[in-house]
Amino acid sequence: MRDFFQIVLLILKKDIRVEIRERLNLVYLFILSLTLSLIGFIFIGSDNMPELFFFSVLIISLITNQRISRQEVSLGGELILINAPCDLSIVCFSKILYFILVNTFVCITVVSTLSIVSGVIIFENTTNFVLLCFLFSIGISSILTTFSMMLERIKGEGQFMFILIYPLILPFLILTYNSISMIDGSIDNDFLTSFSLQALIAFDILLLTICPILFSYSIRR
Amino acid sequence: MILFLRRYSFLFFIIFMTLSLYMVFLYAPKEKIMGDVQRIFYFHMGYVLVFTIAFTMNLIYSIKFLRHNNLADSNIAYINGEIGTVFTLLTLVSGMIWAKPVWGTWWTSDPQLTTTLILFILYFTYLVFHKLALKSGVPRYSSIFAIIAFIDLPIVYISVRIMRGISPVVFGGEGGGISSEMMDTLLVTFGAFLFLYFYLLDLRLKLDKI
Repeated sequence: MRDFFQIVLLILKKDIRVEIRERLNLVYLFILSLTLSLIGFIFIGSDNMPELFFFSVLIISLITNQRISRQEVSLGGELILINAPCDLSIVCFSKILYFILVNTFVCITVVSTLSIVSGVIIFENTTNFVLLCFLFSIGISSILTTFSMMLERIKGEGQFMFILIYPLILPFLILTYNSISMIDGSIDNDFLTSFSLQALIAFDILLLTICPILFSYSIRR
Repeated sequence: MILFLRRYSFLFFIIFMTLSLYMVFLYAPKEKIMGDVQRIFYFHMGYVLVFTIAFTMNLIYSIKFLRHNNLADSNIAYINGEIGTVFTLLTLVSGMIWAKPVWGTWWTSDPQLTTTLILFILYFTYLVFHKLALKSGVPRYSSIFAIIAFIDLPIVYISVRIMRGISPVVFGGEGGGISSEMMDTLLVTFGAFLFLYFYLLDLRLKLDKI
C-alpha cells in the first residue's frame, strides 16, 4: 500500500514539474478560464451563476485534458508510462489526481472571475460548494483520463474524435445540475441526503474503480 | 439452450406476438384515466426489455473481448449495441406517442425521459466509436466505451423512482401497480419481445457471415 502511494506521488510530482517547467499550459488555462467565464457572464447574466460556473469548468476541463494528453504523447511520456515497472492502473490513478489538481486551479480561477465581475457570491454555503466541485472533478477526471490517451493514439481518424466521448459525461452533468439547486438550501442535510448527490458519489466510486482497470487495457499494446 | 432459442425464435415470436396482440386489444381492460392510449404501454415496456437485454449482453461481450481478445466477442457486442440502440429509439418514440394525449406534450424534462435519451445518444456514439476503433485496429477501445456507457443504464431505472418526475412506476412502488389482466398481458408481450430479440440477433449474426 505504501508503495502504491509512493508511485502515485512520484508520477504526480513528475507531471507537476513538467507543468511548471513548460508553464504554457497554466497560462492557457488562466486565459481560457477568464475568457469563458466572462463570455458566459455577458450572455447569461448573473441569474444563473452556479450553472454558468459548472458549464465554464466543464468546457475548460475538456479542452485542457485534451491538451495535456497531447503534450504527454508528444513528449514521449506515454512510452515511459507504458514501460514503467508498475501496474498501469496506478499510473491512471495518479493521472486522475493530477487532473483533479488542474480542475481545482480552473475552479478557483472561474469562481474568482465570476465573483468579481458579477459582484455577488456565487454560493453561500462554501462547504457544500467545495464538496460538489470535488465530486464533479473526480468524475470528469476519471472519464477524460481513461479516454484522452486512447484518443490521442487513434487521432489519425480526425481531430473531432474527441467529441465522441462527450456523451459519457452527460449523466454525470445532470446529477451535478440537480445538486446545484440544493447547495444553498437552508438545511445542510437536504443537500447531503439528496438522491443526486448520493448518485454522484456512487458514480464517482464506480468510475474510480473501473477507469484504472480500463486504462490499463487501453494503453496495453 | 441459446442455440435452441435462436433456431426457433421466429416461430415462438409469431406465436407469442399473436397471443400478445389478442391480449393487448381484447383481453386487457381499458385503463380508467388514460383510456385506449394506455395499450401502447405493453409495447413500450417490451422495447425497454429488449434494450435492457441487448445492452447487458453488450457489456458482457465487451468484458469478454477485453479478457480474451477474441474479435467475435467484439462483433457480438456491437450487434447487441445496434439492437439496443434501435429499441431505445423505439422506446422514446412510443413514449412520445403515449405522452402527447396523456401529458399534453410530446416531450418534457422528466428525469426518465432525459436519461433514456442520454442512453440513446451514448449507444449511438458507441456504434460510431466502434467503427472508428475497428478501422484504427484497436477494437478494444470501443469495449471500454461500452463498459462506461453501461453505467448509465441503472440511472435510468433508479431515476423514475427517486428523482422527481411524472413517469409512472409500473412495478411496485407507491401509487403504482397494474391489474392482474394487465400483468398477464404484459408478461406475454415480454415473451414475444424476448423471442424477437433472439430472432434479430440470429438474423444479424447470419447477415454478418455473408
